[in-house]
Parts: sequence; structure tokens; C-alpha cells
Amino acid sequence: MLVIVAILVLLALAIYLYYNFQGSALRGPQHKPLRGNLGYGYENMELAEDYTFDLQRLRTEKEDFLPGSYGVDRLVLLAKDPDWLYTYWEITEDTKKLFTEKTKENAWQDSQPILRIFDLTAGSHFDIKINDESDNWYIRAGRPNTKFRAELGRVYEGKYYPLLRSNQVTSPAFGVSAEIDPEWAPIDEIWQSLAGTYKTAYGSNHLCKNEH
Amino acid sequence: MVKGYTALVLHAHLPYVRHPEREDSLEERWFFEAMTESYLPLLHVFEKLSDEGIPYRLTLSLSPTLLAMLSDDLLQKRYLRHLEKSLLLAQRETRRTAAEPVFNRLAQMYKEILERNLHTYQERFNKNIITGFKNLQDKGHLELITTMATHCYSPLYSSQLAVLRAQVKVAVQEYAKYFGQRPQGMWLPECGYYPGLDGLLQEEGINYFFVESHGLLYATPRPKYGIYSPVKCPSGVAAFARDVESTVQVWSSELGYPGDFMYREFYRDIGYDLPEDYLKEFLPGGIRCDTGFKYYRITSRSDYKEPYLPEEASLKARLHAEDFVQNRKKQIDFLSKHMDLKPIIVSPYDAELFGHWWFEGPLWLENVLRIVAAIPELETATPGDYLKFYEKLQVTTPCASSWGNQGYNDVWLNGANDWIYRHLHQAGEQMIRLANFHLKPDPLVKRALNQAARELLYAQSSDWAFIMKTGTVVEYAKRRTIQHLSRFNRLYEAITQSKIDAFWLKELETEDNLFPELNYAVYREENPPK
Repeated sequence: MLVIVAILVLLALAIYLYYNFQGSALRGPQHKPLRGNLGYGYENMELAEDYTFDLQRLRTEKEDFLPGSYGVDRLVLLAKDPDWLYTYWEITEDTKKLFTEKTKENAWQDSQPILRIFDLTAGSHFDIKINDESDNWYIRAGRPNTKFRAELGRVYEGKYYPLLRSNQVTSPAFGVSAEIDPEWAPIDEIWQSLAGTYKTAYGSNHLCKNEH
Repeated sequence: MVKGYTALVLHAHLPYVRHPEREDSLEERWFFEAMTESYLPLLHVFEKLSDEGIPYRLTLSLSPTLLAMLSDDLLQKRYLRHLEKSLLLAQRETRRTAAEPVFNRLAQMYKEILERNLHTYQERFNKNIITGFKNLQDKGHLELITTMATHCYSPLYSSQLAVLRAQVKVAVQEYAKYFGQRPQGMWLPECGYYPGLDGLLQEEGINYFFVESHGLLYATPRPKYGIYSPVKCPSGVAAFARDVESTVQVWSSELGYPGDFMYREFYRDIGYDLPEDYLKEFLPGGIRCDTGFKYYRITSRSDYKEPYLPEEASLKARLHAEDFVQNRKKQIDFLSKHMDLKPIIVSPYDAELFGHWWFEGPLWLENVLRIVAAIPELETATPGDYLKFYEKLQVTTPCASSWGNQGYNDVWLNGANDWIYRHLHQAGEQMIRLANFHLKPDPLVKRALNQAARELLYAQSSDWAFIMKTGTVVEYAKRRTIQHLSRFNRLYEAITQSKIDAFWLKELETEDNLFPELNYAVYREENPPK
């Protein structure tokens, strides 16, 4: 009798442990990604796959490294979205020396580094005070569909000295164009239906008003 | 009478992951899983419909890196081994579950899928399924297109035209190698577009590409038909826009089909559920990971899961396909009332969503194609078809855009990955300089130049920046970026100082063997600056 009870208890315990174990899937610390799942309407989709990752298994080449600088003067401007720009730069010692030669020996320390952003579409510019510890900057321009160029310079004793000049970049549009080709006049019914769809898919509505 | 067209577009891509230097690489399993769960099942669906004489047209983008992996000898052998091992596990699973009919028939189901995959892979295509897709293109069912050579995210290279031109040229060369013709269209990685990029496609004879919905909605001047008919960029290349409605239906976790409680649960895999001892020989290096044996359905939003019921799931796939087609029909009915040409609704998806993430995806797609074939008002079409129907299109310039979160460059340019661009741009510039300077290099120098180009291409994969942003296998993405750029820098130094270590170069060529026919001259500028 006692033996049967003992067997039953053990069996119950085994079943309990088995299912308990089955229920708690072990999750690795890393996830395997697939792209294309971050877009509109499906931001919440959790398509990241659980995945363990073993660093030790990777072959390491001791020589693998990226230099902190390349010894070239460079200011690169990129558009991040309709409102934001991104820029990174490198200034060589030669350029620094040139600046001191034009000004004074300790002018580098005594001057204020500036990012000057030129709005080439409007023909205006604005300045951002930066610091010497940075080598890149996110700029909130807030001007969609606008052509920009940047300069990195310094203000010393009230005077602005440009040092580096960037490429040109155009910020993306953020809204429906007011420009209409009379041969291809937009079909109102279609645009109205799109406005409805976009309101749900995008959470905000940038297309509902026709800007005739 | 056909009132309009539905264009289903699948984009199949994986970054080039091949690690000859070690066995059992976890990352190579991305490829193996996509093969077993997506590429082979999709091929089977396409073939089945073709054999039954169901008329359908579908656009499939096969990335050059994926084509390279599909045809790589080592990866072919490794995938075959993976498949055989999975079959062994299937046999064990049918034995283990012998007393549990609910699970046993699922184990049996997986076993049959794997047997079929093995037959297709080994017997029919001798380990190269590219032939299968090519056959379907030749039969008039698939329109195969390409994407940037290593899936680079173009808008962030807009100031380096020669770099982007090389990405396009190599893509077209690779396509021609596999399919004996030029690609008609190009899938822009992540739908990443900026005005002007189309000019580079035009140079290589590409007729069309895709943009995200707002890429066309915000075009200048405003497009007459919204997103329901393509436009022509000033370069003459056509742009098709992704449709919002059909996107949300398939992708969204809240509103989309794949989240249905009847569908198979992705996250419950015996790779995590069963004791390690039992799985030992199936886990790479003993690390728990997906095995593909998943026995539960989504069931609920909580952790509570019930066993998977294939018949119920099939029924759901059928209902969802009907729903999808009905909605496209409604859209077409509405649009055709107002348009003076036939509308086209473009629905692009990642191919890996079908089968891998959404187990019933291939079945759903099969149903969609069957149902459309039976409806007289609706037809499937490819962009290539549509451009033959309508030659005169509105000329307008789409706006810079992507299909990533927020719709612009945010996913590939943010605090998690912005550090890579100064190195990528520098390497790009140096590569252009090398190509401009070395017009007739010695054989050894030429090999070094080609390898430098190869390392640069590897580093430019948008996948690395994407992984860094999404916070998954970040270390791997960082390592690959640093490794390829570092190898590029060392090659650059070796070439410019005429100190090429032939032994080391051979090692690199063996390990990083992407695009063996690559010629560094694709980076040469026509009128290089003095």
C-alpha cells in the first residue's frame, strides 16, 4: 500500500516538474533581428527572436580596430528626418595651427566653437554653440524640404572664423506638395480616401487638406 | 473585365554570413532557418500553383548577398547537414511523442515538411534552389528583381555617388550572372530613397523601384493618383509606392493576420522547452536556440499556450486570404470609379515573414493567389507588367523616405549606430581614390584592390546599423562592421605603401569570399577630381 502511495507521489512530482519545465522556456540574452518590422502601423510587432550569443566563439583579430581620426579635415552633413540633421567632423592639427596663425597663440582655448547652419533655400543661417569635446552633433533645424550646408568655425573676440565646410543636403519633405501639374491634377476622391487611411496608419494626419 | 491589379512583392534578403573558420556558427542558422521555413516552402507554393495552371504574377527580390549564400559551396554543404540533422531530430520527436497524439502528429507534420525540403534541395536542385526561382521566372510567374549589392541604406551615402553607383553596378552584374539578363526592377533596401538616386538606377538600365507610401504622397508635384499608379522620376525610372492598407493587414501585430490566436506560436520551441541532454547534438555548442519544432498555437496574449491545430490554422489562413482579397477588391472597385487608368495596389513584404515568423504565411499566399485567379475584376501583376500597359506616366519627384520607423533615416542614423558613418564614408572615399589611381595594377595589387572593395561592400550592409539599433546580437553587428572596415584600412595601407602580404591576402580572400568576380574598377569615376 505504502509503496503504491509513494509511487503515485513520485509520479505526480515528475509530471509537475516536467510540465513546469516545459512552461518556462529559457530565453537567451540576445535576439536575432529581421528587418522591415519597424515601419508604420506595425511598430509594436515583436519580431525579435530570442537568441543566445557566444562572444567567445568569435574569432578575434587583435589588429581589428578603427582609428579615432584619419588625419583629414572633414565636416559631413546628413539628414536624419524632416526636422533633424546630423553632422560629424574631424579637424587636423594643421587647420588648428592655421587658425592660431591668423589669430593669437592661445586663441584656440579662448574661442568658442560654432556650427553655422546655412539654409540655402531661404538664404539664411543660424549658429549652434558646441564644445571641443564633441566630434558630432544632432541639429534640430525644423525645416523640411530645405537645402542645407554646414560650417564649423570659431568665434574669437567677436569675430567668426570658418574652418570646415560641409556637403549640401536636403531635408526630406513632411507633407503634401502644393505644386500641381495642371495636366495631372490630383483626383480629390482618391486623396480624401488616402487622408482617412493615413489618419489611422500614421496616428497623425499630414495630408487631409488640399493646398490648392 | 479586369478593373485593377494587385502586386505582391516579396523581398528576400539576409546579410552575408559565412564563417568558414568555425563550425556551428549561430548566425549561419539565420540562413538555415530561412531556407527551411521560408525560401523552400515559398518555392513549393509557387511551383504547386504553376503545376496546377493557376495564373499568377509575383515580384520576388533576391538580394545579391542571399544569391551568393544560396550558391556558396560551403553553405550549401552546411545547410544540407543542417537539414539532415533536423530530420534526425524529427524522427526522435515522432518517437518521443508516440504516446501523445496531439504532439505526435505535429512532429509528423514537421518530418514531412523536412523530407520534402530535402528532396527539393538535394534531389531536384542539387543544392542550388536559385534554379527553381529562375524556372518560375522563365515560365512567366515570377518577376525576379535585385537590390543594392550588399543592401546598403542609400540615403546616408547621398554625397558619395561613386559608392552607390558601385552598389548598383555590382547588383546588376550579379543578377546577370545568375539569370542571364538584366533586372527590370530594384528593391531599394528599406525603401530608402532620396531624390537623385533614381539617376543611378537609370544608368544601369533599371526601370523601376519602390518607395514607402509617403515617398509618393509627398512627391513634387503632387501625384494625380496618389499611390495607386506609379510615377516617373525626372530620370525616367518609375516609382511604385507601398499601399498602406494591405501593409497593416499583414504586418501589424494588433490588426494583422499573423497574430491570430489559431496560428502557430513562434516563441515556443523545443530548443528551449526540452531538457538539454535530449537536445545535446542539435544545439550548436550546447547553446539553446530554435530547432523549428514548435508545438503550440498563439492561444492568447499571455504565456498560456495550447497545442497547435493545423486544420484550424489552415482554415484561418484561408479566411484571412479571402479577407485580404476582398479588401483589395473593394479598394479597386472604389479606385476604378475615379481613375482613368487601372489602379495597381502594391503590397511588399519581407519574404522571411512568410513561413519563418508567420508559419502559415506561405499557405495564406497560396490562397490569395488562388482566389485572385478566380475573380474576373482582379489580376495579379508585376511592376514590369504594369509599365508595359501604361507608357505615359506623370513625371514627379518622390520625397526622401524609407519604410523604417518614423519613415525617414532614423533607424539607420541614431545614437546606437551613428559612429559607423565617419568610418564608412572615409573608406568609401579611399576606395574611390584607389580605383581612380590604379588603372593597370599588377595581379597581386589588383587582388588586393578587389578585396578592399569586397570588405567595403561587406561593411555597408544596412543590417549592421539596423541590428545595433534594435539591440539584438549587437556585438556581432559591431564586430562585423569593425572587422571589415579594419581589414579595408589595412588593405588600403598595404596597397598605398606597396607592401601587400600575399599570404594574408589569400586568407582574407578565403574567409571573405563574397562576389568572387568583383572588379574594384566599379568604383572608378568618369571624371575624377584633380
